[in-house]
Amino acid sequence: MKQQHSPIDGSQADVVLAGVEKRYGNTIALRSMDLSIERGELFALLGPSGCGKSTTLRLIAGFEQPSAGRVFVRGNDVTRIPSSKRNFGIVFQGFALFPHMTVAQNVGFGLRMRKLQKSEMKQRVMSALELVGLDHLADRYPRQLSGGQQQRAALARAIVIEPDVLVLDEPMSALDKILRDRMQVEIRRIQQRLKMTTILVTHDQEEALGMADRVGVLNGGRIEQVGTPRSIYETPRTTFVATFLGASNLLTGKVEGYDGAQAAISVAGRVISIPRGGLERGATVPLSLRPEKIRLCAHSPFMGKVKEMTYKGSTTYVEVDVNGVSFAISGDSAQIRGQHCEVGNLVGLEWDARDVVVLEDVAS
Amino acid sequence: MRRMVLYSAVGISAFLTLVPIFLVLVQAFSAGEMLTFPLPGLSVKWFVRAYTVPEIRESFLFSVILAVVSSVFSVMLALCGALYVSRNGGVLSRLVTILALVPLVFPAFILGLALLFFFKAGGVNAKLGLLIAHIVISIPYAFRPLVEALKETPLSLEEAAQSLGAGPLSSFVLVTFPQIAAGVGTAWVFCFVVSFSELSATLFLAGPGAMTLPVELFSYLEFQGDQLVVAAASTAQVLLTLGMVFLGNRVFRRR
Repeated sequence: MKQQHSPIDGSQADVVLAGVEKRYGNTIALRSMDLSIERGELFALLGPSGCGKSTTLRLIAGFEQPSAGRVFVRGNDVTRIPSSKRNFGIVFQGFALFPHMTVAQNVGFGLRMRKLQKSEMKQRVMSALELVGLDHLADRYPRQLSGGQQQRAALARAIVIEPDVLVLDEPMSALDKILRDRMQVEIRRIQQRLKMTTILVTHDQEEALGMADRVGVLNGGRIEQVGTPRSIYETPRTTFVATFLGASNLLTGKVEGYDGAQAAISVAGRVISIPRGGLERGATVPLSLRPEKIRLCAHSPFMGKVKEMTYKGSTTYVEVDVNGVSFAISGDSAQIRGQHCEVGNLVGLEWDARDVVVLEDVAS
Repeated sequence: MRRMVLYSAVGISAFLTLVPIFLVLVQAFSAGEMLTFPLPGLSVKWFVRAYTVPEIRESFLFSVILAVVSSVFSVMLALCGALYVSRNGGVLSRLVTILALVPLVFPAFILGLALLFFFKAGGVNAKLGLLIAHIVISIPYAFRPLVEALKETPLSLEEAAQSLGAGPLSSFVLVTFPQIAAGVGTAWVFCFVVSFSELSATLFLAGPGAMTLPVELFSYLEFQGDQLVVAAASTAQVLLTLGMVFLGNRVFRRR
């Protein structure tokens, strides 16, 4: 296998996309994407359907070639290298197990292609099956397995070749909710044990937040934000990221001025201060405030009437109208009951100044 | 009432198609000298007599060889087309589909005439001409089941094989082909049967040394008029065809 050696900066990046673009005729599926995935991390590509995440996956896996830009794996340019020579382990959506082969033959396929000796092959297949807890079903055919077992088989087939990169394409979409939660934990456990660089493609924000070291949020063929699950959840950069990852109060504020490093912004007829610079005086800015960051209290500048209350067990959802602006609040049921919160009552709202995030796009 | 209409329609068409064929099959075993019913007795003498006619014997063998060879080529060509069509959209894909299916709607009679002129002009000999004609005529029968079979096979299987290190050829042979084997078998049986019983285009293209059984029987009936010899030879043909279909069902039955 010949590869061009093209040095990149000395970081620990395993997979690098440099200005990768993909066009189909006149439609642009991906716009100039730069992405760097580090060695051993689990990176989630998160986005709604049609956002370009599948295209990104196909480019990284080598099933398609970018219209522009380059793909590097461990510093080698693999842009023109076919999938069969990239040494990637892929778990497909729907698993794509070979129906005419047993579980052991499926798992051994990659080793067979690598012309391994029978004895070593058998041993590696068995240890991969043991790792995923499927060693007792080695002689079954895929159609004789449950959904969860099929997924384990697909995972074993992908990791047995000791891939440079493990790619998971919507790996949970064929499973039911309970199984999904269990497999998330299990896949994460195996991934950390093998310290395998892993790319997870998903539309499920819980899956991405729960499994990944870092998440890249895609929208309209563009990466909107990359960061740790906490950072993208707590400090979304755009309206899209704020709403795609859980619920959010999208507010419109007006920059009134500065008090030292604090920007004074008026929201719903009141002025709040946010520790944030670089905003133009008089500008209208979109703001995001997560419902669970808001607390109810007796007295506050933000007083409003309770419009709606939904009890959800441990949490309660409350909607409060403040000067015609509606706030969604999600809080601990006991705490909310302690504030004499009932529909029609007047309650106060408070939050920490740093929980109000100024978004970078225009509010819609 | 509706049911009555349906049943009588089915009954009449079954009667009109199956009974005459059945009569021919039965007559072939007649011990008499003429087409008579009921049979004067049972014997296989007409099969023996058909076999002793050298033209019939040779054309039977030629038909079998032609059907085997042309069906293999048809399936291979149709597979190439079907692979492209099942994986690609666009104008070219539609064009391939139309080209593959056009012999189905185009009268074989005219196709035979056209090919005759074409081969005469090009100096193509009769055997090769017949082979080409039979391939063209049977391609649609292979193309359809192959496209169906390929469309049922997710592309992700092949991609999975490739991601595991299989090149394009081995991923096709080791993964895709086993999925479509039943479709390939069906396609091959169809092509064999179509070629084996093709008459109208073959009429134009057959010649000395390149005579198929249907054409031979057609002219034999016209000039010798020995109906029971023809009945016996036709019966042999029908039985071989039925045997092929039965075998195809057995071997390539969908799992």
